[in-house]
Amino acid sequence: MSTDDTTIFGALTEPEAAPVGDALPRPRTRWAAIVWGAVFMALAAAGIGLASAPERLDDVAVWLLQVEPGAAVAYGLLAVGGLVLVIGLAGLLRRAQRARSTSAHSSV
Amino acid sequence: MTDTTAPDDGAPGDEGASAAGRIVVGGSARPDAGPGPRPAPPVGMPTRTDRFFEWTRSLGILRQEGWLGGVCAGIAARLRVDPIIVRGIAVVAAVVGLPALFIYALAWALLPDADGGIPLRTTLQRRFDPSVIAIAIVLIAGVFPMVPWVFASFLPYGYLFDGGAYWLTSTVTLLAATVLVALYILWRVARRGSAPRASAPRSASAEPDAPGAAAEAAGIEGGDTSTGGPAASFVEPASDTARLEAPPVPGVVMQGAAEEVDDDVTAWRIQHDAWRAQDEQWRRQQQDADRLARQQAREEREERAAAFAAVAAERRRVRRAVSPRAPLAFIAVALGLAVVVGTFAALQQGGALAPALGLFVGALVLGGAMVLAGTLRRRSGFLAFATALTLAGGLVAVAVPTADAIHLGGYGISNIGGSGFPASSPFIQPWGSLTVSLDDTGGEGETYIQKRDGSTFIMVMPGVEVDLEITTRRAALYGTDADGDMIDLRSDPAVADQTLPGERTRYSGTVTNGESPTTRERVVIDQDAGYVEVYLEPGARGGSE
Repeated sequence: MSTDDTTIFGALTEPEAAPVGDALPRPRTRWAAIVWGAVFMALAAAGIGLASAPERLDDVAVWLLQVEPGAAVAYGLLAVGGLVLVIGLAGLLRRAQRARSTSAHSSV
Repeated sequence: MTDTTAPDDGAPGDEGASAAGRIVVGGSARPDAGPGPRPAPPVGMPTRTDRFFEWTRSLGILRQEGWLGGVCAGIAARLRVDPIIVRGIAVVAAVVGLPALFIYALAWALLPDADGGIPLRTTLQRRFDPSVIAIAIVLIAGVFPMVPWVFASFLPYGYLFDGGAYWLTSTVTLLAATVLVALYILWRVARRGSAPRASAPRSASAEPDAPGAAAEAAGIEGGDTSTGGPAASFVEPASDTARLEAPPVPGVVMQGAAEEVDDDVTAWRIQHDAWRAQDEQWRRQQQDADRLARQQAREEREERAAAFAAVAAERRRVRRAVSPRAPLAFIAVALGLAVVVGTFAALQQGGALAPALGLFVGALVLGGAMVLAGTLRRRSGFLAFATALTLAGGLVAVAVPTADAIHLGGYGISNIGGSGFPASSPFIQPWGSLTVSLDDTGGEGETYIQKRDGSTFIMVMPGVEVDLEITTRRAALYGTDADGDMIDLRSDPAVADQTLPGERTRYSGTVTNGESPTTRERVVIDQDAGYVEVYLEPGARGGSE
């Protein structure tokens, strides 16, 4: 990439921060993928438990007959809370990872 | 000379145009005067047509070198965006049935090109512009919404919009509008064609009837025709021919005057040829300059695109190095494994929930692949997408048979045939509408119903006696009496009620349709809320409860 180009396209000079030849940082562990993968696996396992026996459908129907509106709202809240929890957890892990890599860089 | 032809200003064409304009003016007003070297340009007010084209010019959209008429490229240049964007929008608009082609053709006819030429204007000036044929084709194609028709013939449900009426109206309207505009243009052209011929014989005449009026008429005509420098030259020969062809009126025109006129013509021809050569040279220069400018602009664009591509490539390289994607082979293995294991699990189980089981097993495999990819420091965006999609699919596959099991919506059951709904397997419907038809089968049976909410209708046919038991908290209970009138079963003395824990009440009674019933049914309803109605089908009414 020539300097002429970078002067004309000032907005496009961002990659200059990591020029060719410089040692690029090593790929990091993808914590978000691990957390979300685990959550998806847990949900899938629950689904397998639900779908593994045909009589479960009747159980679901009976359960729906008995569930109170308040309880239904509580279950919805539980799902939303779980979602937020997972998002937050993934964010925290990423944050810790970034902090560690920064401190490692500064110590070197 | 009006100011309507900005591109021609200061061009050599001006001189010729002035000369051409003067021939008409001078010829009609003062037949004895020869054409001067630099005659004054005819002063005419710009006509309404000129003002209109002035307006289309003022839009600032110049048709450029494009795929068709250059309209999209012109709009793109005006908006400073890539032409492909405008073209894309136009194509999409045409595909969804908007009259994009029609509007395109209009714009093509009305907008000036880089040389300032407007096809419609050129046509109005009785000059042939080859692009008119192309415009006409696009216009016709635009009038008939062909693309939607193609869609309608290929798609099972026809077009996005409700078909028939919309197309018919739009097509007929556009067709009528096009025909009207075409007729108007033809009329204008015809009128224009007759105007110079009307004034030409007068120019050869030594005694114009009304010089002032003729001059005015010719002046306006000259103002019209000479608004474009090169344009005037094409109009001029018509009046010239008319002038030469026009025979002098015997006894009125003197011989000397006729000779003078011939001299005028010769002089004018020389002048005209010179002007034409000059004009052609100027035109060529303009074209060369334009071509050069376009080439330069293209090169600049290409340079800019190359620079942008280089920056993007570098960015990609860095991204690939710092956060690499999971290899395609890994994703393929994960997907393949998920499909194989999921399908196997579904086949093993069978039944209504088999698809759900298969999808959940597949999601489990894909989730495991996500975790593995994350541990191996690889991005797994596509895997995450695939896992979420599979999970959602599994949920739907559970929801469909579940909705079926809980009888969501409206259902109807009967005591004819089947095993009915005994206490061990009641008819469960948390929400929805249920109609129970009790026919005269000549036997005995029982029907257990469990509901939360909704409505339940018990239709008792003639010859049927029903032993009814309804347990509810706050459902409305209605029935029909012997006269066919509605009665509230809660307050009916014939109905026994028993209070149960949890604010529930059990109402029980017997409903008989007819004097000597041959069928005995027992119906037990457990419904928390909603509406229950017992209806005696007319025939041999006369029941008691």
